[in-house]
Amino acid sequence: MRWTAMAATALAAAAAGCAPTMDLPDGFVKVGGDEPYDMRAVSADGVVLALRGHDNPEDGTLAFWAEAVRNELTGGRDYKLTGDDPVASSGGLDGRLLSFSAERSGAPFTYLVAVFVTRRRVLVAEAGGAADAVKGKLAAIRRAMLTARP
Amino acid sequence: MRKTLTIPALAALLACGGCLAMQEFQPEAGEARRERTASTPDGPANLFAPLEAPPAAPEPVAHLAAVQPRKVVYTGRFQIATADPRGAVARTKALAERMGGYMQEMTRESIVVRVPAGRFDEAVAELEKLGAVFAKTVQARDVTETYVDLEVRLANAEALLKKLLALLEKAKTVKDALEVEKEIARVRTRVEQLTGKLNRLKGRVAYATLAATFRTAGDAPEALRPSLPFWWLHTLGLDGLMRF
Repeated sequence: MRWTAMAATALAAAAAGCAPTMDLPDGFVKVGGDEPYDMRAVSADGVVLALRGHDNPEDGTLAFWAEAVRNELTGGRDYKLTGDDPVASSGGLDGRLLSFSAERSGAPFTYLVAVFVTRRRVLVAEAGGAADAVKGKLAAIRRAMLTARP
Repeated sequence: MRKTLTIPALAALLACGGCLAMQEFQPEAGEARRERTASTPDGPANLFAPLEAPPAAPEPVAHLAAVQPRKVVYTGRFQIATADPRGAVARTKALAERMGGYMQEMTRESIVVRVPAGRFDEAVAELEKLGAVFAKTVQARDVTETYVDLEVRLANAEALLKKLLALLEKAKTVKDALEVEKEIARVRTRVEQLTGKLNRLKGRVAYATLAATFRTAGDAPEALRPSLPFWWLHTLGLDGLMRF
């Protein structure tokens, strides 16, 4: 490769930054990252995938964070827990995948949260949308969430 | 030969410096510690007492953040008992508009409004007059380091774009030019993303968010539930995820 192309690639790699990421399924388009999300993507029928990383300040365990997430959503907010499964990311991180149902404007919605924990970071992958839309691509969404990496 | 050795070496040095710079600029380095949350039906804790010194953050963001006026995101969540929940929702909307704010989302018995950050306390006081407050969470999150981080990352990406454009001028073959243009497109997208992110953060700093749910007076108030001191937990859910 000529030096101009090498230099350009090196410079652009520096611009990419160091943020959590995951592989998106077909049919999802990345949209601008917006706090607190490090990345978000949408499908044409309004299903949203997102990924974010947060500090794990006191070496919190996976059990702690999974329970914290579950309690946040079910303890006073209108989410019903429909599933809680141990999972592993493609990078080897142990995680938990929590599934919830909720209603918005009288229609059923599905919301998924996958939590992965390293010593210093908590990775949270989320997916949500109208229940029928999520159901149609559930396997692809789950696969994508399990590719989350710091 | 000399040119071949010098320019890739320069590019590699720039790349190393850029990636190190990116690693230093991790958001939330100081923010979790600086967040204060009060959840009480009886009134706020002393939210606006001076904060303890923030933990050390990597240079140069910490240095820049220290000399910057603080950027704070204010949010409040309320559960209020009232004889007329629908009327209270309408009054909250009117209140926000009177203060130069706007309604963000609304149902029959709940509403989310944005008001200018400088009028947050006034808006909270007015909202509390609409009924009996039986649950309240008020949060002031210092996002100065994230703000400065975004500004610096954007400036770096824009500088990088300029360098790539200069590099394009020096491309001697079509193949090289195409490679450089590909990288320019990628960095340009990054600039747009960072600009969008910074503008959205500016919006959240400029306008505080107030969310209120109204219940008919006489319904048993919800038991106060424990709230963990990790701000990001409260941002989980469909409403944030699906809002653009």
